[in-house]
Amino acid sequence: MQLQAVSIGSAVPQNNFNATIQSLFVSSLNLRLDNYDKLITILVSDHYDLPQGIRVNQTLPIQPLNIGGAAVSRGGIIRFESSPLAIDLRGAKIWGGKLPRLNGPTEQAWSIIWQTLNAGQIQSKSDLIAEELFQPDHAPHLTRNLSMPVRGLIAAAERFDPHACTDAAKKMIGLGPGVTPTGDDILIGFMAGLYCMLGCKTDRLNFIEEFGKGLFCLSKKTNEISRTYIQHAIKGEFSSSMVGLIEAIRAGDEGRLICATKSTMQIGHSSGMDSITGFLVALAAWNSTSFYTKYKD
Amino acid sequence: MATAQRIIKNLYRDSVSLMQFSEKVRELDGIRQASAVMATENNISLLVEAGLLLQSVPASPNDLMIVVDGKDGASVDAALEQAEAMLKAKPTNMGDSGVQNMPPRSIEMGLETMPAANFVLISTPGEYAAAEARKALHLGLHVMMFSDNVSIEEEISLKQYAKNNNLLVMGPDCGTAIINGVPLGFANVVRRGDIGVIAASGTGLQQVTCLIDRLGGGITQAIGTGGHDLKSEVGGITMLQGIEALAADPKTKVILLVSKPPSPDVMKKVLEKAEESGKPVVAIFIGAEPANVTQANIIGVKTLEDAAVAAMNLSQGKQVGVFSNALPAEYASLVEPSTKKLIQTQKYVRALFSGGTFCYENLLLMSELLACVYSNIPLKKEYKLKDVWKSTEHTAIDLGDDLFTQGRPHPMIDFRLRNDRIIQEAKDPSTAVILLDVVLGHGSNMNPAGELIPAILQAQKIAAEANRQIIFVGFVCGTSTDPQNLTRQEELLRDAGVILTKSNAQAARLAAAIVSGR
Repeated sequence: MQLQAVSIGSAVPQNNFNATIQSLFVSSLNLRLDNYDKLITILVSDHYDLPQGIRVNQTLPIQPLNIGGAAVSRGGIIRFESSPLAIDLRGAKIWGGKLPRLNGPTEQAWSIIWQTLNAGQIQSKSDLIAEELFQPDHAPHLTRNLSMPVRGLIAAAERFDPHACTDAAKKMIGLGPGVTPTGDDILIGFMAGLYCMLGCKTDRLNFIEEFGKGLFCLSKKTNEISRTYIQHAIKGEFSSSMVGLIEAIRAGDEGRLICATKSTMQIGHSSGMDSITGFLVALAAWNSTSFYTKYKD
Repeated sequence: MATAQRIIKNLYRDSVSLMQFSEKVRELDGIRQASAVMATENNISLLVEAGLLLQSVPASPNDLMIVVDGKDGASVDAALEQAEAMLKAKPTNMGDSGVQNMPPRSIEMGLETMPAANFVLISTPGEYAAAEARKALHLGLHVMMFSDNVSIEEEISLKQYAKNNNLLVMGPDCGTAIINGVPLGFANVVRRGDIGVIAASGTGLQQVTCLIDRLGGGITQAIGTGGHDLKSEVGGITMLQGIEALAADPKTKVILLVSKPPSPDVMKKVLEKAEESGKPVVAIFIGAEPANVTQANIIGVKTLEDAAVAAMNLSQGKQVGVFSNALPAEYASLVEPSTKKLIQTQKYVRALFSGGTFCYENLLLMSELLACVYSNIPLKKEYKLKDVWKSTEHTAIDLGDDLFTQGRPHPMIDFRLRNDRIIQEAKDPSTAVILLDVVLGHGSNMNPAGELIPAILQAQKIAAEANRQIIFVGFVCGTSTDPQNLTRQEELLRDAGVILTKSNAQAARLAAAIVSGR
């Protein structure tokens, strides 16, 4: 059975490659490219694009695939060992994953996203409630462990200190449940927040580059799948949901913003919510909001 | 106590699978806690801090670490073996053939795999439910919204759109329905027949359909409307559409309506539509005076049991019959022997419900026979419990109320809260009767009697140590074809000393008679 890919991320090789199946989930699978320290992800979704993703929007009747099994791409078609399944990459649109820039004030948008996020986290009984990061006394163990490092990220970004920021990230990397742990998702969102406020400011660019180097080293302390997302984030490449959220902020339409926030929050079990948390943390650092000020006091 | 860990190399499972896995391991014998996380340095430190790991262990962040805390070494070792086997098993949607079917991630994808589908069941957090329902309606699909917390404005908008496009929206907050013989949400396996049911109450629908089944009858459709449909703002859109549909359905001979009393304007519209149907209609508006409902082809009744009996009689071409408030002889004979078991201090009924409508009907019936009945959902505000965690005199509690279900599954699934309350009531020297509903069917716990009996036996032991006996009264809402095995469930409860009646109404009357007869 041959399926047509709807989109492919810019990190997916356009030429021939050999790979092995690294992991298999209900609605996605990861391929490890031979000769590269790099994963690409085949995922079923009607809208969600990733820099390393190959998106199909049909149910995948995957024949007996096994972790470690071979996959090869020749002439733009991926075929799998012991399976009639093939995925045609030709003609699929390319997802670059680059973020739009935020130039204007974001305080109002920040508050709307923050409220939507916290309400969603409470309702879904998420492991992490963003507000508790700043009021951790009665929070769960995981939140208490993340609280100081998250505050550390903000303080370090405010004074453009990439080394302090890396020290804070060190306490977060790989921390939490799931394949992309909570700490990692926060860091990915944090990078997105930094990139979208980069503008033409040299101090910000230098900070991102230096912190990116530190985070790249730290990424070896988390698992291969999560590391892939982090390394794309370091390069400024993100998912379509994060891009959609920033576009909604730029549009200045409250309804669209709430929709985009909720859509991003639905990614994974809690990954979307954790990424938004990190994103808002970065915005709070570089676009200081009165809402956040109360926690600093 | 003992803790142990196991590391599985290069294994990835998604977060939801890991959460479900941890739950399953916690349910194993002798296990207190279980956790499965990627073995990163920070996660290992977290486990050490939490006391689940005695010391840091060497591992790679690509490994999965399982940590188990249990009563002894044998328990944790056995749990680790099972845990590893569970985690290494192929994903559950991968069949024996090895073919893995990726589940649809959207309504559109679902339609691609099942193009003939014309119905969608939506069970998402409330804030997303309306958007999904709108998508489904735009695709020409009927909708059942299990989700609650949808605004009344959204509900009106969705129902108006559906009505204008000849579609049906059941819900929001519609927990029960049986469509074309398929039980949806919390629902029972009920025989097909000629009675069509429309209900704004989940357990009300379950009670009437189960009683119809037990009486030898069956249903065509059981349509849920959601709890807000008969409010003035919504105007009973779904119930009115349901009546029209059942009136036009040649297989439906009798229509049965179930609800708390609607707003007066909506009640008028519903009764007019019911009259227009031209079919015999039985209406149970729990708490409304039957005489105010009865007219032309519509028979008003007082209890859910009366409604089932009336609908059955009409379906068989018999007279509706006259319904009595008196306790039937088969239960009346149990009153005196039960009363004799009570001592002077034992005065009160403590009714602990998992079904909200059962609690409400119980309050209405017990209040006719007893001075006052306190509750978290009282009939009069002066009978509202000051502290819902502690009973006052006669008390009926709806344990499915949001107050009790925050952060825990519904009491039809998770019996811990009710079992704790049974023990608490047993310690109170004034408790005479503990009344319980037991709900079977899809969605409910697979062995409710097995869940309740240890608490019942413990309660009887506590009472015996104080030279008391507690009378347990209950009823099972279910059918012989439900997955839980009705006969076995009833046998187990009777063996544990529970007096079982056939309906909620009879259980309420029997409990009241026992404490009144002293």
